[in-house]
Amino acid sequence: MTGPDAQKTILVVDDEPDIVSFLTTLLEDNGYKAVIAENGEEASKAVQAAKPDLVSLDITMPEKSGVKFYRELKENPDTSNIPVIMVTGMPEVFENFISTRKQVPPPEGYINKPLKETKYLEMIKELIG
Amino acid sequence: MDESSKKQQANGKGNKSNPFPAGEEMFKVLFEEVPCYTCILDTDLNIVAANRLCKENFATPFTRHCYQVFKGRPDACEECPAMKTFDEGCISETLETVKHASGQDMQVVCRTAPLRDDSGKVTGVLHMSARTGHAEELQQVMTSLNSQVGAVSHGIKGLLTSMVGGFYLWDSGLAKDRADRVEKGVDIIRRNFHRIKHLAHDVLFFVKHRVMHTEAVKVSYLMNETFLSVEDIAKQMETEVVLGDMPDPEIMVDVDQRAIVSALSNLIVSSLHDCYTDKRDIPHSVHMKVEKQYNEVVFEVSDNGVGMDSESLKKLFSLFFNPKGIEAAGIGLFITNKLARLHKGRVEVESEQGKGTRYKFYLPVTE
Repeated sequence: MTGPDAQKTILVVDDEPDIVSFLTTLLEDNGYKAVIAENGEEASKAVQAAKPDLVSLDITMPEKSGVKFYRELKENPDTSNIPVIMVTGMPEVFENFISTRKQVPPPEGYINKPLKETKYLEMIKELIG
Repeated sequence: MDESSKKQQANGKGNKSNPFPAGEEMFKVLFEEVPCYTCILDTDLNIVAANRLCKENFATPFTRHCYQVFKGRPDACEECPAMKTFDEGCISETLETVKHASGQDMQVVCRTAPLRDDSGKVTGVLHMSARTGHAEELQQVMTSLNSQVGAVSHGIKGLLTSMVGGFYLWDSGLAKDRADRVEKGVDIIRRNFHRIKHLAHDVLFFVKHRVMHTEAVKVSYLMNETFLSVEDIAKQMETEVVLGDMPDPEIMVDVDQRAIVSALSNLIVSSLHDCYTDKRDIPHSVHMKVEKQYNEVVFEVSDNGVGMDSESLKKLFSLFFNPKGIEAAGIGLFITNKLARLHKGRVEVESEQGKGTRYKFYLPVTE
């Protein structure tokens, strides 16, 4: 985690290279530092290494690795406070999944694909400034 | 009641006036003879008891996890009704596809109920399932159809997000006078345009009832046409497609030419995506060759991309199974497999994660 005036770090977790290019460029253009992970396993390592201020997570990555990573992040007391914005093309499926897993809290934000830059940035600013 | 009847009842046996067993024996008989697949699971989802119908219809041994016995899976189901019952302490109901001992898939309605110890803690689950009737099968088809439409929608949304990204890079590149960024943005837009086009083609192919127009076609012609059909998308994926030596021009197959070109191009597009998403800093390429093996022709498509694990390989040709994320929403390879079988051929796949994939598409040679 970084101090109040330091550059905020956002971990972008997505397996699609073009979306990663988009989000990292967008975030860096708006003063954030972007760290990338292309699956849940890499994301777990990146959380430990980079200590991000926020995670932008594609929940529908192959082999449900996004779901597993999310569960691990929220069940670990050292990382459960890191806000998560879920990027998904199927919000109803995820909401249903989360509502049936009572021990896992819902993410701090959802955003549907196709993603609108302004809404994405507003959500991030609201969560971490 | 006479002494003999009392003794019989104590032993759980019925008597002349009451032919049914009594006491503990009654519960054993009920458990064994209930006309549905019944078992008891512990907190690790091990089967600790199973009734006669269960043992007769599912693979033994029964001293294993329920997901191994009923589904042949190495790990627990994502949406496990038994785990839900353990977590929430309530009855749960789902529709499931299980593997009969004969190897056939079977649709069942599954219900799980909590079994509690004296303190009220759920220490076991009663797991009961029965084959679905016609109404449940129709409901399952509708549910499956809904999720398939959802999967296509999800695929399209992902591609559109990529295009939004391309436009952002283009616009911001112009604003910041960054030609490299503009070029990257244009590349992204072009690439995803082709992917959306390919997806639309696959969806239409899937939904349209297509009559096959079979005729004798040269294998060399099919190779050339396939190469031309993927030229644009290969360029956008920044990966070379290399054609092997042309086969004997006299080798022919009886096929619907458009269908087979579509089937083969799906294999190449799959390989292109594996190369494009591979983060290793190596030159990637997709190779296509064809050769005659006895009375068959084999089109081989191979790549040195990300490859697949064994679990993904097993489900590769399932409709809407998509190990690659958003690419084509999982329709292309399903169509390829279906077209191979319609032409009395088959598809084989070898893959190793981190190394690459090889597809072999077999067709019978025209006599």
